[in-house]
Amino acid sequence: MPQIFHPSANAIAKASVFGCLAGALIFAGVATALDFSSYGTDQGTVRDQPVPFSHEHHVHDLGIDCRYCHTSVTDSTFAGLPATKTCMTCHSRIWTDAALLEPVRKSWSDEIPIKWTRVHNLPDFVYFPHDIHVNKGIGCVTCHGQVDQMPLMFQNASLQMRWCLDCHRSPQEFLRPRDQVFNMDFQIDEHVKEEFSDAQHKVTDQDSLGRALIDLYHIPTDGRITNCYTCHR
Amino acid sequence: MNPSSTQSPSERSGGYWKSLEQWENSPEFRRLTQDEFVPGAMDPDPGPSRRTFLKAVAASMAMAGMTGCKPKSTEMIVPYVRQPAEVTPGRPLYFATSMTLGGYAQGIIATSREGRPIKLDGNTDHPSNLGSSDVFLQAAIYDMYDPDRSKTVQRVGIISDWDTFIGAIRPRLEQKSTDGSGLAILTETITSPTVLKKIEEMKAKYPGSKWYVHDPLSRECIRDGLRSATGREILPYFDLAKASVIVSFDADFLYEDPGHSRYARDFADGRRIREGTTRMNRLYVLESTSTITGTMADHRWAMRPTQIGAAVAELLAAIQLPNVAQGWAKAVAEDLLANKGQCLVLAGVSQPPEVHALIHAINEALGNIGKTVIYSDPVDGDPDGSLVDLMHQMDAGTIDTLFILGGNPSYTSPADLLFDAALEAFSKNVDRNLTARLGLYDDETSFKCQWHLPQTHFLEEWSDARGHDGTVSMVQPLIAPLYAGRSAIEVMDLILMGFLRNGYEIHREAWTAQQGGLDFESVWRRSLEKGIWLGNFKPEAPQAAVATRTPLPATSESGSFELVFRPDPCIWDGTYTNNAFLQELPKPLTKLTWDNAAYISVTSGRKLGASNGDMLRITSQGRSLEIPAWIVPGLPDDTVTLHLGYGRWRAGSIGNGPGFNVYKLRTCDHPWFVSGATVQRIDGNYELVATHTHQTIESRRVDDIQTEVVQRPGDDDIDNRKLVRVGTLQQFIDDPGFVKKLDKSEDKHHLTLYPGFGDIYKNNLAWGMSIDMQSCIGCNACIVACQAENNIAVVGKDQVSRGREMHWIRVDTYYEGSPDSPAAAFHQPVPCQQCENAPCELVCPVGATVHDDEGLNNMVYNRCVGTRYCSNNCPYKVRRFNFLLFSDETTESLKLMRNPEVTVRSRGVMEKCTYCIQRIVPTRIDMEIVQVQMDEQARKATSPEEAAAIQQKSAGLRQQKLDSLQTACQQACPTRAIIFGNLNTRLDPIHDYSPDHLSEVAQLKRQPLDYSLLSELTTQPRTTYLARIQNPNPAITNEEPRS
Repeated sequence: MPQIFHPSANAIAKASVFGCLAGALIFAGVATALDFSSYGTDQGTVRDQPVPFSHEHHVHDLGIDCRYCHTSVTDSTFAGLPATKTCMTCHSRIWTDAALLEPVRKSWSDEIPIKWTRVHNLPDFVYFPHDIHVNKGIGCVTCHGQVDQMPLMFQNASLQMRWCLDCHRSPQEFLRPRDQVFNMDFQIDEHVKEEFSDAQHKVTDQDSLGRALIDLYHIPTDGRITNCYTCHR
Repeated sequence: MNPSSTQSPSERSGGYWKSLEQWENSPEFRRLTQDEFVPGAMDPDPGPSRRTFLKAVAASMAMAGMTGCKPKSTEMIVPYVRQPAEVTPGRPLYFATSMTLGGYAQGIIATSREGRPIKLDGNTDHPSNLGSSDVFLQAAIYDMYDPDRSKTVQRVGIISDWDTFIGAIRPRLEQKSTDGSGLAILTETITSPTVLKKIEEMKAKYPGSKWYVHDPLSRECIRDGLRSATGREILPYFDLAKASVIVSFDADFLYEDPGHSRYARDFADGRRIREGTTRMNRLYVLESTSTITGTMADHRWAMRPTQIGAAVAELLAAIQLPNVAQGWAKAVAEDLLANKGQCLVLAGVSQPPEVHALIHAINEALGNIGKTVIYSDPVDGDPDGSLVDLMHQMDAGTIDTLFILGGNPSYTSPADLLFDAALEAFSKNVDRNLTARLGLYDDETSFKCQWHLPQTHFLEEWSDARGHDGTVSMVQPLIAPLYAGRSAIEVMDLILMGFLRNGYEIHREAWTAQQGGLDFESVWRRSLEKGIWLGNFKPEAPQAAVATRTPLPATSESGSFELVFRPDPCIWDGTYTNNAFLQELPKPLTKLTWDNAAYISVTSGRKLGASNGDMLRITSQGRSLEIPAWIVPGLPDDTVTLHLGYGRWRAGSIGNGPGFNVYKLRTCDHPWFVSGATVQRIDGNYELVATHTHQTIESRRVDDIQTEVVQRPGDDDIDNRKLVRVGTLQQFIDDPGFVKKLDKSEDKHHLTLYPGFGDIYKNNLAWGMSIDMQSCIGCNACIVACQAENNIAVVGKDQVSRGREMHWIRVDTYYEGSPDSPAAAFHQPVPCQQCENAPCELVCPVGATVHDDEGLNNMVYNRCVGTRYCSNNCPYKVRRFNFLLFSDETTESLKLMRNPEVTVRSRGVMEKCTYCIQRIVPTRIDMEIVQVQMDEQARKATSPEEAAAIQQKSAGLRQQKLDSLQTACQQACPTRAIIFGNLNTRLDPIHDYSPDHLSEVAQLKRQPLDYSLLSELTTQPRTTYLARIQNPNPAITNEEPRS
């Protein structure tokens, strides 16, 4: 009886077995990489907005404080987006004819709110409170990046859970004095080193400052802030 | 094997049991408790065949890689144009308002998130509920967002609008301004001063116009009885706080009477047992059906409804001549006479006026009037007549314009009136007559009227109402009407003015007139803040009512059964038939859901040869109804209890279908009970679904059912500790530690797989809960509160029959004694016990349920893959699994109802009680923010004294925040049976500011009555229970019901 398969079929069989395995591995690798990339996380993606609002202009050039518009950032889970009225405090007087600002004027005259696109969008099972972070010395920059250098707003961090945990596991790397939270260009200068050094702490760099602030601001280091119910409920 | 199963039920007289199935301890029942899920729970839904399934799997595999190509969802943020000053986005606002049940107000504090009311709770300033809730108050939020609510004006079923309606009625009203005869309005019981004033104005403007009232649960028997006894127009309310002996004749004052939440609180306060307590109140109940009030009784006698009157007379005689009296009446009378002026005798609305006159005589003889019984002017106005009078006028042709405001008389009217047909005929005469109906739903009555007008929900309107003691309660809107609804006040004003005005304007105008312009603005604002009118108020003096009831004619029929009509404990008289929360709520005692049934006693069931679900034909006064039977322990024999509110045909998508309409047997002469009915078993069976066999905690010794559940002093079997521990007051006084005795040997069990966790617990906040079985009346308010707070899904009857109900807290009811006449019943609310050594955590393969440092058993939905091992390993049976996508994620109006602080769970996810983590976390955050801010102030202080003062203030503020933290069930509980809080005397070193502070829950855990369920398993639950203490009268030994 003649052989059904030519001897070369062995090679094909082996190639297909290993090829499939390799293919699956490559597929998994690519999928994971994609998921972790900005393609998956939207990191760095600029969103279309009804008005191309420039944080760079308003924060850096004009020096407007974060809290002027994001009024509830210290008191509420939600930082708050400015009401049209907030825009109109200035724009009823300056740039009153600018075409870019037409949606703002229209919102004001028609009493219909502007619909902004959310840039930092967490999954619905994650509950992030702004107030506690801002009150305990996490700077705006730490998560949102240097918004004073962003002509158009984009998502600065990956917002993946591992990124949250980086800080919840070692907050000392990110803490800053409470009065520096809204400072876009915070540096540890001599003044800070002096203010936060005491008998137990000698502040020289971020790590030592962070450890001093952990004690000062009662930040739990026993793992409590990595409990699931801290953010999920 | 199982010695007790060889014994037939009738041979056993005692025992403790949750359901009759358990009492019988049949092999089927034992299988139920041994399997994690009831039969059917694990069955796949009839769906695709294997072939289709494989196709779907192949397709989904192929598509799996495509998910990355889907455009990501974008979310919008919509800020205000002008942000109101009081709004902080992300923080809730709270408003005081009121709701009515049967016309009487209960105070509400409504939580508003981003302009949407999402949760209702009691108003602590309101005397009718003192901050607590009942099931109706908690479930009212569902009505607000019910997708079936009527949305537009309709004319004979065709969409119309208010302008067209006004155009249609204006000529008629103008013509009637000289002679108003022919104009009539029909309402339910109304206590709103503004509406009553508008009715008076209507009668003045349209002379001859009439106001009729139809209320299926009218209190006219009480009013008539007191009129005949005292000659005055009065209604009673009670001060249970002053009553040490209470005798209730068929009065479900803990659940049904106006003011029941207040009564429940006062009642429970009078019987709390703490270390050193030697006194508690005593409750005697004589009733014709099973009520939760009856389960709280120290002595309860079941009797047929027609026997109640004789019993009242017997008690009156015994009080007048204690030496001649015998038996129960002598003992009760002596108890009452020993507590003159500090006791209370009351009868339910179902009893005829003669009985209420006797009750008045008893209370007068005991000196209770003005002390525990307070008579007040009726707050429900003086209508011109009842539904019967209205129908006479309709027949006589003297009425041509009828406005029906609220109610649902086509459905709730007595069967012998045939009101539905009369209204239809009346409406059909379009040339002459005009009928318009204002209602929340386009229901049975609207269907028979020419015009249907959509009504506003109470969360959308300005109004007012009176509480059980006459307190004027304000109703203010939390949200603009979702649809084209108008309030009763606005429609009454429309009838007066001929055009529509804003409810705010009308309401404010009415109260400006009451206040007389003095300091109005300040009084108005304070009143709205409190939810209670604080200014001047002069109600109209009640006039002598014209309607007097004729004595009941005896029925000539010869049947041996008596029928008892009661509002349904979940859907009331039919008002809440379309409320999904209430339909799925297991009814107190029977745990029946989604249906009503004919409740009969065990003996009657045996006599009729009927068991649960077997169809019965009930014939009474020439009318008959087919309805399935349900055997209820403790009912009097030859009595059938029938609950109103079911069997509707135009209620909505939820309410159409379930149950049987027992209004068909209710007549004008016999609205509450009737004798001479015949009941027979007919062929057929109807599937009734009850949850009483679900989630049964398995006994350590299944073979030993006699002592399975309840432990009384003397039962020292430490290897078989019972779920319910009970003693009498005397036993407690003799040995306060009797409950704890069983737990002494626990030391050897303190082994844990988590070394070191104990210290973490000591240094942190440690959450715990104490549930007082002494106070729990089994009213279910906690279940609905939890459902509204935690976005818990409603699953439907079919799913409940598979044991898939989702309630995070359940109320188990255990009976003691024989099913014919159980000696006692005990309610045990069971939420997640938050075990420190949690069995569920050990078996989760994906770490979806883990422990945290504050002692909570965290359930992480996004990790859960749905193995259900945790539920299998939970000895308390408190975990709930989303077998299907139970959350309605598509209906827009229901999205508005959800609590944004709680994740909406999807299919395939386990869930359970979280101790309201969404309330804990913000409280903790607020405390920490106060701390860090005040610390900074203290550092800047100029002197150590100033710094210390700031720290002191900081500590006080944080303590305040911690003390105000309540779980939803705790907040709702009318009797404060559930207390939650921090167990540690000291907070962690960081929070170390008040070492002496001991929270209420920590104090309760140190009480002698404290015990935990299944403590021999060493799960170390954070939820523990306080044992039930009964206060039987030693003079009464014979507990048997008198025949």
